[in-house]
Parts: sequence; C-alpha cells; structure tokens
Amino acid sequence: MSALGELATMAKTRRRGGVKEKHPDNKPALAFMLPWLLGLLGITLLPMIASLYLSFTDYSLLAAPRWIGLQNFVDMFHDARLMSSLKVTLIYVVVGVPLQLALALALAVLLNEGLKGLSFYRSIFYLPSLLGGSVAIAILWRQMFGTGGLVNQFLGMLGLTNLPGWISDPSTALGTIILLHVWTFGSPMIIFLAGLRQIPQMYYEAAAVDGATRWSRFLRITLPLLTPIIFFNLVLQVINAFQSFTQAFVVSGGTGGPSDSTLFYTLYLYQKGFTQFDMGYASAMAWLLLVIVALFTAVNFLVSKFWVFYDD
Amino acid sequence: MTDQLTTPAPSAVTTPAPAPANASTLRRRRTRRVGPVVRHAILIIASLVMIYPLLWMVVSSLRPNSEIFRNPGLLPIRFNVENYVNGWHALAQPFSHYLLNSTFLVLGCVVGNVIACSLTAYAFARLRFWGRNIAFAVMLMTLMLPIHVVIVPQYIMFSQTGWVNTMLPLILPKFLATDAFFVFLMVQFIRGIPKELDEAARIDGCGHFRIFFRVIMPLMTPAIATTVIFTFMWMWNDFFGSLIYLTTPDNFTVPLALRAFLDSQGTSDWGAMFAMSVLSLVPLFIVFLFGQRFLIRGFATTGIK
Amino acid sequence: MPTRRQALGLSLTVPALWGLAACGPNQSSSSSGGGGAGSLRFMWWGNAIRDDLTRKAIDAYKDVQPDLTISGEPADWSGYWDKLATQVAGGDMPEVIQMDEKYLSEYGNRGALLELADAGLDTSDFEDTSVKAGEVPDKGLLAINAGVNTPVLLANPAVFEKAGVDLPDDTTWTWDDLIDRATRITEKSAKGVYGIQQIGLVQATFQVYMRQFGKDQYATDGAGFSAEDAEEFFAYAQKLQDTKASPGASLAVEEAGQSVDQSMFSTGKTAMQVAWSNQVVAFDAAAGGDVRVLRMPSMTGRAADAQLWYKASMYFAVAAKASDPKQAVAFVDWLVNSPDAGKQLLAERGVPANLEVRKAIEGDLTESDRKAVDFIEDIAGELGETPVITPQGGGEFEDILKRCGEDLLFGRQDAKAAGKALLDQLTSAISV
Repeated sequence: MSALGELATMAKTRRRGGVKEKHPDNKPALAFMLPWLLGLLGITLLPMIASLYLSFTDYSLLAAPRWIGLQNFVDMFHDARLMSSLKVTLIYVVVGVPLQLALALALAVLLNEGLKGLSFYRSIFYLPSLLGGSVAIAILWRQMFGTGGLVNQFLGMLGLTNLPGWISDPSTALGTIILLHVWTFGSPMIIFLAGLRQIPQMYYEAAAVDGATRWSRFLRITLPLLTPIIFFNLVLQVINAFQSFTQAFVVSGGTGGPSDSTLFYTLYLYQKGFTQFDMGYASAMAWLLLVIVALFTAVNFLVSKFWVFYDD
Repeated sequence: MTDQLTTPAPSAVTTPAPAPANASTLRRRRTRRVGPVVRHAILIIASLVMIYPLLWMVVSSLRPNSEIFRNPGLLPIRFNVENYVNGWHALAQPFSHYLLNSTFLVLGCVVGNVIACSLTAYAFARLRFWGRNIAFAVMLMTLMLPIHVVIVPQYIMFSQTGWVNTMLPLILPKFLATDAFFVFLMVQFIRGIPKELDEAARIDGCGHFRIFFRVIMPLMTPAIATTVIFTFMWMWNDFFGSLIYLTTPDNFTVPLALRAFLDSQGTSDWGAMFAMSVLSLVPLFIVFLFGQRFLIRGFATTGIK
Repeated sequence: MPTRRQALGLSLTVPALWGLAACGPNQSSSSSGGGGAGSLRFMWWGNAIRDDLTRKAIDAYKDVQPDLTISGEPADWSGYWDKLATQVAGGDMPEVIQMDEKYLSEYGNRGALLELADAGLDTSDFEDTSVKAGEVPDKGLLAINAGVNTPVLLANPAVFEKAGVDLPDDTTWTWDDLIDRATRITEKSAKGVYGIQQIGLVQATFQVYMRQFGKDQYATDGAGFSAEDAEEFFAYAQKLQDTKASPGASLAVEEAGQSVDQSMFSTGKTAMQVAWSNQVVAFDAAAGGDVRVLRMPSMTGRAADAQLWYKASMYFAVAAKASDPKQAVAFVDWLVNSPDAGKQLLAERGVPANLEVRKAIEGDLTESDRKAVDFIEDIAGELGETPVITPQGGGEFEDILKRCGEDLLFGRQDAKAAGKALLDQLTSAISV
C-alpha cells in the first residue's frame, strides 16, 4: 500500500473516530430504534400534526375544517370555563400526585419487607387499580360518598350531623375525586416495588454489618437508589394527572358538575370536541395543555439533576 | 434461588443475628415481635378499605336487580347466580366471545409492548447516538396530547387503510413502541443496572443485541413484569379506543360488551353488569398474581453480588 | 372556495389525512364495516334489550330483501355520539343511524342526512305532528320518528297512600297544587322521603313551564324565553327546595345524575318524578309495577293549558351520501311502516308513530307499555304547538340548566341571576 493510501485511510479513521467519540452507536441505535421510529412517523406524529393544524381551524367533525387563524387561541383567553377547568386540574395535580406517590412509596417499602402474607396484601392493595375507571367504581363511589352514603353513616355514628353529599356538593366534590385518585395508588406502588427489588442486596448487607438502623437504611440506601424510579413516577403521574379524565367523567356523568367543580381540563376539552362539535377549539386546548405539561416536565427534568442518582 | 423468589425477605436484614442475649437485644426482640402484629393490623384495616368495592360488587352480582340499589350495605348476602346465567347469554354472543376477543387484543398488545418498548429503551439508556435527547423529548411529548384530539385524525388514517373494525389499529401501534410510558419506564430501569455488567460482556465479545438479550433483559424482569401487568390491565379495560375502532358486536371487547347492560335513560341490567364485571376481573387478577412473582425477581434474587 | 383550497393544501402536505378535509360529511366508503353492494350498516344506541329486538328485526328483514346484509352496530348512549361523529369525520358514516332531537340539526344542517320525503319514504300512516318532529327548517324531513314521546309526571301510589295524601286529578291540577301535595307528602312520610324530585334541574319541566307562558325553549331565531321567564322557573325550583317539597341541594344534585334504577323514585324515596313517556316501562319495573302516568300540572288548572306536545323519543335517519340510498331508505321505510317490523321492535323505542303499526302490535304490549300508549292517546286532543327543533349548539342546554340550577340550589346565585345566566349561556352556545 502506498504512503498516500495509508495517509488517506488514517484520515478516514480519524474522522470516523471523531464521530464515534460523540455518537459511537449510531448504527446499532438505528436498529434498536427502528420500531419506535416507524411508529412515530407512521402512527403518532401525523395525528399530532393534524391536531395542530386543526387548532387553527373551525372544525365541527361533521364538515370540512375552515382556517380561522388564531381565533381559537384568542377565544380561549376569554373562556371562563376554561380558566376554571385549568384551576381544578392544577389543584388536582398539586394535591393528588404527591399524596398518591407518598402513599404508594410508603406501602411499597412496607410491603417489600419480610412480613408474612406479603403477596396477599400486595394483591389486595392493587385491587382498586384493577377496577380502575370502570362503571362499577363510579356507582360505588357515589354510593359511598352520597348524602345517605356509607361515609356519612359512619360519620353520623361518630355524632357528626349536617353532613354534605360529598360528591354533589360543589365545595367537596373535587376532594372526593382526589381521594379516588389517591386510593388507586396501586400502579405507582407496583413500579416502586419493582424498583425496590432492583436494589442490589449487597448494599443492605453491608449496612447491616455497620449496624445501621431501619430508618437510616431507608434514607441512605433505599431512597437514593430508588430516585430514578421516583422520578419516573413523578414525571408520568404529573403528565397523567393533567390529562385526568375518566374518574371525573364517570363520577359526574360527563358533566364536570356540580357547578363545574369537577370540570377537569380534558373533560372540558372532550365536551368541546365531541358534544359541542368544536374540535378545532378542542385541538387548540390540547396544544395549550401540551405546552403547560411540557413546562412542568421540563422543570421536573431540570430539577432532577439535583436529586436523581443514576449509576452511569 | 427459587426459594429466594418466594421469600423475598433478605435474611441479613430482618432476622436477628445470633447475638449474646443481653438486655438491649431482648428489648429489641420484643419490639420486633410486637412490630409485625401492629403492622399486620394496619395492613388488614387498610385491606378492608381497599377491598370493599370488590366485595360490594361481588355481593351485588349475587342479588336480584330490584335489591341492588335499595340496600347499600353488604348484608344480607344472597347466592342468586341468576345474574351470571342471564348476563352470559344476554348479548348477541355468549359472554365468552367477548372475553376471548379481549384476550386476543391484550395478548397482542403485551407481546408488542414488551418487544418494541424494551428495544427502544435499551437504545435510549445505553447507546450514544445522534439526536438522542431530542428523540427522547419528542417521545415524552407524544404522551402529552389528550387522546380525544388525536383519535379523530388517527381514525381517518386507519380508515383509509381499511383496518376499521379489526384489532389492527389497537395492536399494531404497540409493536411500534408508541406506548412511551413503558419506554420511559424501562429506560429508568436499565439505567439502574450497573454498567460494568455490559462492559464485562463486551470484553467477552458480545454485540449490543447479545448484551440486550443476555444481560439486560434478564436483569430487568421487574420492569418487564410491570409492563406486562399494566398493558394487560389497561387494554383489558380500554374503552375509548375500542369504542372507536370496533364497530360490530362480533368484534366487541369486554368493556364494550359491559356497556350494553346499562342505559342511563331506560332499563339497565345492573345485576348482569356486575356479574360479568366480576367474571372479567378474574383473568386480570390471575395475571396479576402470576405476574407479581416476576415483579419481585430483581437483583436481590438474580444472584449478582 | 377557501375551504377547498385549504383542503388541497393539507392533502398535498399530509396525504394520509386526506380524508379529514376532503371527505367532509359522510361519504360512506365501502372500505370498512363490510360495506359494498348489497350491504348496509345500521348503528343505534340502547341497551341489551333494544339490541336484541333490533337484531331480530334485522333478521326479519331477510324475508323482504334476502340478498341484503345488514350489519347491526349497537353502542351505549354517550359512546354512540363519539363514535358517530368520528365516523362522519372519517367519511365512514353508517347508512342508517338512530338520531336524537338534540343533535338533529347539528347533523342535518351540515348536510350529513338524507332528505327522506323526496327519497320516497312513506309517511301516510303517521300522525302529522309526529312527522313534523323530524323536519328541519329549510332542509325538509331529515329523520323519521321512531317512537312518540311526551313529558309525563309519574306518581307512586304507595308513597302517596303511606303519607295519606290523595293522588291529584291531573286534568285540573296546577303547579301550586303540586307543591302543596309534595310538601304534605314530605311532612307526613318517614324521614328521607320527599314529595317530588327537584324538577328545576330537569329539561322537560323547563320546556313545559316556558310553553305555559306562551313561550318555548327555542324560537326560530334563538332562545324562546326571556331572562324573566327563566327567573320565574328558578323561583319555582327554589320554592320546591324551601318548602321541602323536594330534597335539599345535595340530594337534588345527586338525583339529577342517577339512572332510572338508582333514582329516589324507583327506590320509594320520592312520590313523584318527571320523565318521558318512553321511560314509563323502566320506571314501572324499577318502582314495583304500580306507577301512574299523569299529565304535567298547568298554570290555570285546565289540561289543555298544559301545552304538552309529541316529541320523537328518537329517529331513524339515512346518511346523505349513502352508497345505496334507495336500499337504506327502503329499510327505514320497512322499520317504521311494516307491522312485521313493529312486531319485532314493539314499543321499546317509544309508542310507534305509525298508527297502523300501533294497532298491529296492540296485542303484544305489556301492561307497562299500555300505560304509555294510553296516556299518549288520551292527550291527543290537548296538544300545544309542535316546538321548534333544537338548533345547533342546543345539545348543551341540559348541562347549562344543571349548572345554573346547581348554583341556585347551593345558594351561589339567586333566581334572577340564574335566569340571566341560563339565557346568556344558552344564547352563546347556539350562536356558534
């Protein structure tokens, strides 16, 4: 091989090496990511772009969309029900998510320890989540928190009187839905449990040798090593809570009542799109929601640098 | 190893080490003996609160229709299996038909999610490639639009391909990793697996696919179990997507069939609805019971020390 | 034509979404649902009973048209509308659909529905007023009455008797009379039993009340009532609450969201309930079989002033761009005109509007069915004018009424404010 040829190959490898240092795995990544890429381009992205387009139109679903520019977005800022639904949703996110996660984490830790009958408790605690947003739950919830419901019968036995119908009173309805949300803590609990099982046992063994107490083991080992999972749950639960729909829909019969006190953002969006035939406006609402959720998620990611520990 | 599976208690942590019986260990032993009792008590009370709705559903499913709403309590318990018989035969097809449809749908989705999401997650967690952060952000963004605005354009797409009234629009996306929830979940789990393990494998001459199948997959069993359980549960209960895409009763899934018992304006068959709801919970519960054995199979038990 | 151009622009950039803009309303494509020559899709909402009866009717149509395959597509009420709108958007509208008065002009005014009179639908055996219920202004007969409906007041004699209160004479009673009886029932019954549900949250009562003022829910050019009219209605609702004729705010709101079986009336906790005549069977079954069907009270004490009317409990309609409109119309014609179809469907969708069919099925009706049929025939001579069809956007009215009513009952606003809010919100909903 000539010296020139050798030089050329050297240059090539150096250049390649430069790329490699930064993105050494482009080729295998493409192979691994192929299904996702196909799904994104073929299934997910188009409807998203379409909904973005529709947010600038007057679209009834029943007739072709008509371009109206920013009108939907302008209208949104004068829409009192939209603002109130945003408020309801924010309260739900800020109160419901931390409560549910704390409960899920506490029970996951409790259920991860050597207690007899653990799998039994795990199953029981997961049951409400299995029932999910089914019609049966809505009926039951109304029966429990109704004016003459079980909760009031119980409180009545404690001597309390003048009790409200928790679901039908505008001042307590949102609270009961948050409670319903917290009660279905099974899903984050399962994820926490899975995370707990992934913590290498050797850490605990070492700690036991050092004579660490239960509490300090939790603080020093469990919590830090679980942070990626806590972070995952936090991010996803926030995203989900912003889009919370089913619980309010089934409990309020789709109205978001009483007096709009359980009118969640997505419920209002659904009403606009499907029952008031204004899918253009609903799409605009969806993109406003996306911006809000994206901001919350971005903050979550930024803050995570300070408290989430990865092994890499 | 199998032993450890069923008894997750790490022996070093909870069982007291054989130590001289001095006063302090005695005291500690007593609190240990009291501890479980208190904890069991708390757990049992909590269990009752958690399980009440299911009990109510089961009890109601055994009552005649006229009694269900006249009696809010659990007692008296009756054993009237009429609702089960009626509900099974009340619809266009025997209820087993809908259970089978749901099973088919759910199995397709589970397989799709496990394969596609884990492949994608491996790339996000372990590979360094061009555009990774942007791709990840885009993936998260796909989670942020409510289904109600995306479903109409998506329906139009699938209706062009002629797939409406088949399960394809519900199953195919799972094979293309569109469930970003599980991708993200698996990314977090893979990042928790020590990198030294892959590097050791690489030194042994393994490529990415072998590392993925031989090292990562076995170590992320809890994440896969979670994915299986959640996909099963969500698709088993899925209403909106199934409603839009499945139009004739012979393709209906369980949630669609259950709605047929109810009519907010007119006559509903609550007993049959509760009875069939209870029945449809059985597969779900079995999957959970089975799945949770894998859920607890983590590092603690895979013998990596 | 800006729409066309935008449609084109979209179709060029995003080919897969072509259908979104280009199809517009309902081109029933044969690409899905097993369409094609010799087949129809028929979608309806209902429950297991209706699904079963309708399937039998579809089977019976095989004797008429052996080559035609009809795919029946049932759904529940709320799912039905999500599904239908999505299918229309995708150009996949079923050829034959069930339609509700609330959404008739939404679909009709946007050109989704076929004019049936021109298409050859026979309505000669129908009562005039029940055909009119399907006529959309400027568009013609877009849907045909599948069952006659009228607002009724149901009474449970057992609860009356226990309280020692007589059943009213419904040809002479007034709204004050209603409050008076209801109040006495509440007073003399066990704790937790009331005279009547809070009817201030119920659309049917609102409409009856407005009609008795000589107004209506809608006029041809918008809302048919004034803020003062609505205020009077809410004042009556407030009075029901204050006199304890009806349960308190919490219970009243709970009640407004209940299904038939869960309602206080069905469980013996109220003596009276406002309903539609096609619900008589359900309430009768749930409340123990002795339910009486009464006229709504009037302001003057004369039955003719109650201003009742025939509504369609639901309609059948045909897609404007059905692939084979003749087949579809022929099927609908058979559904509403043939005694054979009537024998399958019975009065489950409401009392048949076709008088011949009504006669033919008389022998097959249950006692509960009979109550509804008798009532509808009894009031035939007392009817007021046929109301204007709900305009586009009017489907929201019930939600608006509930919202304003809830604010009133919980003391968040007085009757005057509620009346004004109702009118304002309705006006903005229908001015889209």
